[in-house]
Amino acid sequence: MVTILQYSADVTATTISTYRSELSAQLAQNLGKWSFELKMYKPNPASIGRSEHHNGNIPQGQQEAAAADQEIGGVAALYTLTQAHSKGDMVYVTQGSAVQGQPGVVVSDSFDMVLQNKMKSIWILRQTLRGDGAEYELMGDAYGRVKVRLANVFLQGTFRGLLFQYEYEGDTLDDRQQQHLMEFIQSSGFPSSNLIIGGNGSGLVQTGTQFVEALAQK
Amino acid sequence: MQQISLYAKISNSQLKICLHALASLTGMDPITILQHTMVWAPAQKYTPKILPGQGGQLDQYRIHVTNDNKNEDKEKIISYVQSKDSKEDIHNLANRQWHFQIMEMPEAGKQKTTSQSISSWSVKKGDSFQFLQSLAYKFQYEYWQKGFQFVYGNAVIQLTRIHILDQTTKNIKLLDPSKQWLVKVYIDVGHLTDIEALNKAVKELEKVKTELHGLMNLEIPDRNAFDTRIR
Repeated sequence: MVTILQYSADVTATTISTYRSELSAQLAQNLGKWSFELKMYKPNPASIGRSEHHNGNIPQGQQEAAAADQEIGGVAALYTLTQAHSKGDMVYVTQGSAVQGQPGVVVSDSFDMVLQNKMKSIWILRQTLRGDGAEYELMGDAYGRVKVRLANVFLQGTFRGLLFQYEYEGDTLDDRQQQHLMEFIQSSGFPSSNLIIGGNGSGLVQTGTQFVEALAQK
Repeated sequence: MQQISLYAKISNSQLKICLHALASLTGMDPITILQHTMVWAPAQKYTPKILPGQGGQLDQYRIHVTNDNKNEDKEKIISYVQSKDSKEDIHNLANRQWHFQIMEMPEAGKQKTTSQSISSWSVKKGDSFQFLQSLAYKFQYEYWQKGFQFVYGNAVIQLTRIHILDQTTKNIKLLDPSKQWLVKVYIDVGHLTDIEALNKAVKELEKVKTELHGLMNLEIPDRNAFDTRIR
């Protein structure tokens, strides 16, 4: 499985219905609802071990802001991604100076509660982005089956933008498939700027890094 | 997940008769088990500022990382500590199927069995050790539990002894020179709030306790022995 992501912030919450009508017109099969959740965790300042350098006079708010860019063991942030079509799986992606090679793993989604509740002394949940939309499949194509997922993205209930995800079978995307995808995007009038192709890692971990690249801190 | 359990100790000379009795009770031959456990703890010191009017410190937990080898013949025993000397060993070890657990203190108050909440998860794809390090956890120690297992109704009956690495022979050796065996009988129940299932599980364990009476004395250990939090 290999994915391509596109995110646009300069749209409204109703733009998605235009694109959904276009997908129906292209005779794509509607696979039903689709959603995702991307959470961002930052180090707990109390575990960075630098608080004693501040004489204890700095208000907590400022201290937390100062710690926002700090790392713990070379990791500046953790991200977790769950997607409705991949039940039971959670993608775990790390960002920071010590992160090299494969930047994450796929864990069972039961880890979500553990990270949120049992590791608060090290990691604090800072942001939750939710996506709500639908999933389609383009049929009868010489380039392999393509799944198209699109979702409105919300941060704490506020609309932030629209996300497209294209998924191909197989481990890599050849030039022919990429060209075909571009043609499809253009003929459908879908946003074609800032397409995120490839990235670190492989499979679901690569998809996770694409979400982080597209959505982190936006 | 909520785990209901009872424990007993038997001497090495009682083992044979216990295995025979359990085999006839459960109607199955004992399964040999070999479980490798590593304990990882937060790598950084946690120094919260306790401000007046705010809650106390957050609890910090150790992670128990386990792998069921089942059969020593099939998979060679590799120590995490010693695997660092060999690229092949560390690769082999990192690619085993590890399970991760964080255990809470057992429920307080008068209980008929030990009742403990356990959060568990697994890495489906990727390097388990890199994952733990990225969470800012560090390796603390490791041990192996070797023994036998039976399944009886919903209950799992395990007879094990703890082994540690022998630095000179590079193999594992018994931790306790008295050669005693630990018997653990447990049932995993979905959740603490499922009272009906919990009560049923407690009844089932009490029945096992009665049936094994005379062979061993299943009891509830001091709950402080189960505390895995960092102090």
